[in-house]
Amino acid sequence: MRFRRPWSGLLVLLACAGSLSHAQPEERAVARFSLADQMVTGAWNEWVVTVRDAPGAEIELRIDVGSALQPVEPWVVRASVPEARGVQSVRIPVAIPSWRALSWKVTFDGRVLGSGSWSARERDDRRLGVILSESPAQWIGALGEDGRWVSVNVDELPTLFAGWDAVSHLVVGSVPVPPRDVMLLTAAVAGVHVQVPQDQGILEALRPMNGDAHLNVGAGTLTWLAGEPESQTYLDQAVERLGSARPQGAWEAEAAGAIASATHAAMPLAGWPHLSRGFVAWGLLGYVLLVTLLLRVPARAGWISAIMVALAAIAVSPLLQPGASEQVSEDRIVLAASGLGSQTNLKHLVSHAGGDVTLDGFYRLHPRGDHRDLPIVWSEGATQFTLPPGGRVQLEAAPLLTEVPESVLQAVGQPGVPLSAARAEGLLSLRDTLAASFVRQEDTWWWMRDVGSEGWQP
Amino acid sequence: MVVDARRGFGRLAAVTSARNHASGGLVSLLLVLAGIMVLSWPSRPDLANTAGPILASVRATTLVLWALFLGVRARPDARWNLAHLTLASLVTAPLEASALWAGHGGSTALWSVPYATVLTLAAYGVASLGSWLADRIHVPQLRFVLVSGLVALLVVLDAALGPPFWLPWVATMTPSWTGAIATGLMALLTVIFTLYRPAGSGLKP
Repeated sequence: MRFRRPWSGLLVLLACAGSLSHAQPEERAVARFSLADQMVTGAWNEWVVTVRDAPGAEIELRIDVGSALQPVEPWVVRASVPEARGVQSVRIPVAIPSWRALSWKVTFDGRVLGSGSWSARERDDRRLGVILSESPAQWIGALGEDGRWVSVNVDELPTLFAGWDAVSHLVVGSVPVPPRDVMLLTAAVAGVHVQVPQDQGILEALRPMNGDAHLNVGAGTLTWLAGEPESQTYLDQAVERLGSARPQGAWEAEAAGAIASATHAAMPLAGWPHLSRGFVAWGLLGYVLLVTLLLRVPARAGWISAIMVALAAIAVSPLLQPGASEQVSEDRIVLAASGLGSQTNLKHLVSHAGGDVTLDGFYRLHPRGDHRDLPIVWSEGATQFTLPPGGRVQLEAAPLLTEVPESVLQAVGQPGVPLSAARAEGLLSLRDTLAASFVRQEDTWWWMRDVGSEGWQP
Repeated sequence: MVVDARRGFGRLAAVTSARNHASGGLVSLLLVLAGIMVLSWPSRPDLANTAGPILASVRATTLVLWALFLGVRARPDARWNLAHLTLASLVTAPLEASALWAGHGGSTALWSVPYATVLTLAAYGVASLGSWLADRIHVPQLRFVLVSGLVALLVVLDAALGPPFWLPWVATMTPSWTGAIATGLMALLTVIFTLYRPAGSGLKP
């Protein structure tokens, strides 16, 4: 076929290419962070991977930490898609460390179904402010340039409790279908300051009977705002409530971090059954004296006796092995109010021989602990890492929602177990600073607030 | 090769009974190792016990140096030296074994404790060979030079061939079949040539 004009052939080619691009099949795997694909460094984030018709596909997220000059082994998140056809969604809590590059891929039968990456420019450790509104521009204008606000749909909100760790504020404006009460309550317990319109019956059952429009729940708050959503009154109230505690500062997260640090410091150090140095010294002295005396026995009997004593000592030396090589001590923190709390499990692990460690559940390294740059692999719901000989790590699990038992509520204000001043000095000081109270029961520190006080007092 | 079997273990027993006192060197070695063990013992339960690897390195190194010294020295009774080195490695072994087991190093102890003994005998054999060579060329003053040369050759081979089997402070903590076979063979030859010295070999009993 010949074209009368040279450029007409080019046009046909372009048209063909365009139609081909439209004919390409829809991507079979997509991944994003749950809130407008924004992630928060230093927090738990919910990572969502959606895969179509690829049962058992392998998901991998690589987090390159370190620097260009000092590259270290990447942190890796691995998971498998359920063995079922159709559209499958996998949600994974990921603790994002300070990273240099992030990339993901989904493979199925050796083929890459989808991949992507984020550059270091997208790294941000500010907690997110989330707006649920049909007219987000109005909110962005009212809130100004400060903070890190994102506007999302209701179905984009995190469904994992740990996913709310990346959020500091949630403002509900005018939306056709408001989020379910349980979702808003979960957000508040996780530490989010939730603001909802009071005239739409949202969380009505929890609203204080005394007319107060504020309730502390778990680690966060619920606030009911008067006026029609999107009205100027409503906007003004919301902005006023946010005040200086806009998401840019996220001091609530700092308070929770300070409590975690103080609790880590107060935890008993994991160790092994121990023979004191003095005991060992006396034992060795006895052995040396015995051998010396035996060697002075005339004839061969002395040598033979010394050798027999040595062989016997070698034979009993395995008895000195001090139990398991890995030792663990555990504690829990619950930030609670109104009968609900956000629980974080803390773990100290020390390994004498070192080597691979696998823990059930999602754990991250305490940001101020030992070996905090240790490469971690989160695989199929377990946390894996390799410790050097004698290595010690402080870990924090992904937060969980928990109820406050009656025994704890009754113990508030009662004299508790006396704390060792040296170990718990940081905790006692924090209690005064935060104007909160805590109860120690079994291996859990329950940090309690009044239901009505306006947040933690910095 | 003519082997005088009557001069074997019977002669060794006679030597040991004749010298049935502990040498000052052995007692000093025991005290030094005990001191190192106490100093490197952890002071708190949460600290890892690293006394074992330290003690293993020091014990093996000291025994090997002692074996080289005895091999180079123009001492006439080789069997006494061999017996004394074996005794020294045996009576110091419980310290290393205890320290390693106390630090979760039981599997290491199974290798390092016997390997130090084998390495000591092998080192004595190397030093004896160097001394014998110097005597054969009628320049006994070169004993030290020749032994140093042999030791240096082994160090070079050790570095070139892979897993260390000769350097005592590394080899005791690095289990290797190659090292075990090579050093074991050297130790075996040392024992055979010392206990069952071929007639007319020139080696002084």
